[in-house]
Amino acid sequence: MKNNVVNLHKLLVLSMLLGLSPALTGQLLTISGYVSDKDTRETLIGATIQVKSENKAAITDGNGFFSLAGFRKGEYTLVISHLGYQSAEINVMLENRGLVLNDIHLTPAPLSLEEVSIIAPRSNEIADRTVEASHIQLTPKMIQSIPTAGKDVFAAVKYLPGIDRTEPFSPLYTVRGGDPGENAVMLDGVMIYNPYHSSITSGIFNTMTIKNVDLLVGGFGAEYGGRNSSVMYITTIDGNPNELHGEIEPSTFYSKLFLEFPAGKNASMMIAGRYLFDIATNFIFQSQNYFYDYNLSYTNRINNRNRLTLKYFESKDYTGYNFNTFYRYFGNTFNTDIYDNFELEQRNDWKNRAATLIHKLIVSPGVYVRTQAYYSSHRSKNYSGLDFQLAVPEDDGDTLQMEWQSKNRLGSEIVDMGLKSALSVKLANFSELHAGVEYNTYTFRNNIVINDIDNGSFSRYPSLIAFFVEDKITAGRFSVRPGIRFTSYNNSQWLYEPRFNAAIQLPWRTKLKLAYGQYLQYIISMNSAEIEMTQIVDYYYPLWDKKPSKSVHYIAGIEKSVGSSLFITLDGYYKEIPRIYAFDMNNYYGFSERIQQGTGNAYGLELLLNGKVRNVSGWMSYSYARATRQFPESEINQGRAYDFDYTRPHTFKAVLTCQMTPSFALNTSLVFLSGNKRSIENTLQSYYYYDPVSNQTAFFPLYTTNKKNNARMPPVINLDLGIRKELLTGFGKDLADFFKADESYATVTIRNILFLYRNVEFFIPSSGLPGYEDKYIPFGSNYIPSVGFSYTLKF
Amino acid sequence: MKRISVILFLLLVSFVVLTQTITTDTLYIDFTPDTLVPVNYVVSDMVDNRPVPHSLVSYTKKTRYLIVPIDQALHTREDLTDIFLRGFQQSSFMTDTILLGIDYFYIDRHRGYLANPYILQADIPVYKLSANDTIPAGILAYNYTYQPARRKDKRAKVCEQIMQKWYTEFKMDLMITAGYLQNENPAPENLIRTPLKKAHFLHVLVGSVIGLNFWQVEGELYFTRPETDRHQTFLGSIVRYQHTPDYEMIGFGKKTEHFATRINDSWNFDIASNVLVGVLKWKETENIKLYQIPQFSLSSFQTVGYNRKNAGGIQLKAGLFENLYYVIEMKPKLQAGIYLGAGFKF
Repeated sequence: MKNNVVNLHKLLVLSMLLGLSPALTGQLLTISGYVSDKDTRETLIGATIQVKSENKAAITDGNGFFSLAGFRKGEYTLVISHLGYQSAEINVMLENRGLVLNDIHLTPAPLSLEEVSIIAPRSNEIADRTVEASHIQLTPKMIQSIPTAGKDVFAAVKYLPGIDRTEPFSPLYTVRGGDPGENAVMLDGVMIYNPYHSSITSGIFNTMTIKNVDLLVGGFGAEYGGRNSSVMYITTIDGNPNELHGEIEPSTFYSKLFLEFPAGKNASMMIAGRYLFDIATNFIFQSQNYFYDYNLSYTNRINNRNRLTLKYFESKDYTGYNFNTFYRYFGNTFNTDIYDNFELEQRNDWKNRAATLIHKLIVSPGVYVRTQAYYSSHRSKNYSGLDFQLAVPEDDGDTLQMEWQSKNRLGSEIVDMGLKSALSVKLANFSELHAGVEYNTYTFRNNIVINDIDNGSFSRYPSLIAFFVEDKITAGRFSVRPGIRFTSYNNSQWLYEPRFNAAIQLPWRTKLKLAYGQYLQYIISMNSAEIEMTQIVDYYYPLWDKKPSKSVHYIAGIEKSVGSSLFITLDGYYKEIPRIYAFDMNNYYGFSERIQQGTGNAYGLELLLNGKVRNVSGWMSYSYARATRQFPESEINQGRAYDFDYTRPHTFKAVLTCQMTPSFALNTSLVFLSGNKRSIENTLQSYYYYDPVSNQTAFFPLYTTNKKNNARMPPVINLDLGIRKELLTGFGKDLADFFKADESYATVTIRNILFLYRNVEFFIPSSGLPGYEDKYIPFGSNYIPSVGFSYTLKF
Repeated sequence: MKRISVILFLLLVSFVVLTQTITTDTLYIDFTPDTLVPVNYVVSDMVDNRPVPHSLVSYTKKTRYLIVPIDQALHTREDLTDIFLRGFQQSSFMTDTILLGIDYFYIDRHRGYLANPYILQADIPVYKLSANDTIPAGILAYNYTYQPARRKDKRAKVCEQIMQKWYTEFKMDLMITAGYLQNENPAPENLIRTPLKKAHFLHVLVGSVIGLNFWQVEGELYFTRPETDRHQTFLGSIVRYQHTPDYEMIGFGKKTEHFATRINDSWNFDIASNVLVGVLKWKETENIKLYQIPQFSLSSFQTVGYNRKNAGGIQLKAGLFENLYYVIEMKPKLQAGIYLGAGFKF
């Protein structure tokens, strides 16, 4: 491994020379600056800057920053444009030095009906879209257009190709055959752990605060690491430095507020929060469930070279389900006593915190530095208790008294403190060097108590140092970006992750993109590959004395523009997984030490059509996917290879929005997922155990199978409709008039229109029930159609 | 699978078809102003200050294909100011020059339990022009109620009728206002001389009721127009928490209908009634069934309140409360209590 360090030095020197060489060959100058919205002063991601009468262009990055190099002395005209904005022209005079421009402000264009679109501009975001394959962007408008996304990022991403749900009621997602724990979720550059609300199985991010969501679903560059499958990078709004604006979504159960306003000269703030109080469970059934989350943001545009941003985010969930009242009502209503001896109690207490300080500095027109310090934590305490007694009549006339009893406590805490800095150097129009360094120190604390027996706890404090370098070189129709990422975890050996991206502009407005990347992951998700329905939370465990899990991505993609507003992409991928880990859930005692190592692979094709035709916009996709896993040294499927749990060979997804009038939009989403694999249990086994508390030996029956994922479920089909209507009459209109609001609209969601088609997710053996010995009970979701309403006031 | 494919295909086709056919309708009203010659004023100009198209009169909610709500906009064929100005022919008796504005103009429908007349709501600022100055005279505020003779008349036709009738009254009011500006007669009742910042007042009220064996707190939100008459009718939205020895209840009512009568400039009398649907948290759950969670109630208030006419500020209310409620498989019960409330009028 020492050789890798030497290689690193060589590569760094080579890259620097590659970048520096054009500068040494002549007096070439650079122009750079930020582009922002004239009204809100939010930096614009993906704005195009073209130089008139020159073959030069740039696109603003995730910071709203652009840099154009390769100029000689003289006068130039820049044309700045962005979808939904009026183009602007500015003249610049270059003398002996490069130029950092003051913020360029674009004025929002008045939209005609046919221009209303939910589709994001084709733009460069946190990664470099010009060379990067498998990059998808989601805007708040796109999220809102999905009827069942509930304005939630994690629900929305599952409507994109290559991204699928895990379990029916879980917010977790799997990307191209990867484990859910292999997806990085970053909020303004801060890694967030278990970013979900337990009460409503949705994400903890308030879409009112989101400016942009970028998804890198494979083959991503060297800047991002730590997760093997994907990166979800969420950028939040900085706030309006000119005037007060806001959005209110009041509701008795679930209210939201968003405010942005000036905070001194050149500074702005954003405050937003959500609160949920579940009246049905809290009031009627005497449970206690609530959550809240809030964001604070302060941005100071100190001068045209320096920006300072401070962001804080916190979310808390408390779910204290007590089902006893409901069971009593249920028993009284249906005249049954099956719940008389049934007690179930569940308490979850989750909390996330994230704080970050970001400094953006334009050192010179061609040198941009982004430095960030951050803190991120997740803490969870869970308790579940069950006491169920059942008398089962037997064939010989006796009655078998059965009792299930369990009391489990789980605790998990992660603290991640990091410091990172990234440098972009543009010395010539054909070469852009990007390098950075990151240091993280972690705290992991886990504990587990099963039936009042402490099954162990541990605390670990690993650290991680990483640095990366990549150089994008453009020559005519060809762009390549070689890169490499080096990591040292817990002061161990340096390991490297090579990355490579290339793009070739072909005739007929077609682009070919290629990507290759190796990815390493040092912390793994505490999920099991042995039993069903376990991948519902995102708890992490630090690897110790084990090699990191690893995956290798090979991607080839074609992009084609059809007309001015339709785009087709076709991506093919092969993912090799030489090392992956799962927990051995059957070894409860000290289970945190029992990790099983395996291998896997995934491959597939994804076809995506997006854009707009007249007043209809949206996207449609078809995916073909396969993935496998094998844990040779374990009992999982007796060491044999098997289909990965969440592989669905065929998926078709469509999200369409028809903006019928300026005040009325009809949204529809259709998802067809071919069934995933399940382990259908066909053998009844009784597990005996000794309970030292009661000093008794007891047993519990468990249906098992010796073949994992031995059956494929039926397809899942969901069709949902949504209506978004500006309120022009009634109370909503009066409220909007009173507050002089820009918009006042109602959203109606009609879920599960195809309720007559039952989506079966599991088949549960009913062998214990007399008369149903050989039957399986289908268990599914979306049995009943539902309608949801919400009201939003935007000013 | 074939059936599902056919269903999906039909749904997608219908979506595409829907996108082609549903658009917001625009209906036009053929409103022609009367040309009665004003005797004591001349209108020099009229300016529309509304942030909406200047020919807009009203919106109607329509439903297409059973579930798709669309808005039908009602417009006059020209801008309102152009049409209104045509009615102000120059008179040989003119003595004063008046400048008019339109701050608010909308034809709405009151959807109460007992009646649902049309209401033309308008705020017309009046200025007197002198040689060197423009003097604000006040705002002519209207809540002009009209019940069409035939219930099935189309909304466009009704709007045309109400505008015709209102316009005549408006011109009469301008004559009285002109006389008032010339110190010849008192001001018309609907000339509001205090500045109106908005077309509606927003009322936020918190009330409590103490009864024989229960207590409750509730919050209410409603808008009112500036008062132009002794009587005023409006609708509010209410949320209520009630505590009794048997249960606790949270209820919601979207339509609390108020009939308010002004006693003097500071006090009014209000009779309100509403229908609430609530959910119950039973204290004794032994025999309660799932369908006994909802509660339906009919309530009424009679209150005297401190509420200054056409001015914002604190509001106070006191009076009586009666409530009749019903839970499935239980006898309806009656409650009565004393109501005390406080709030703010914005």
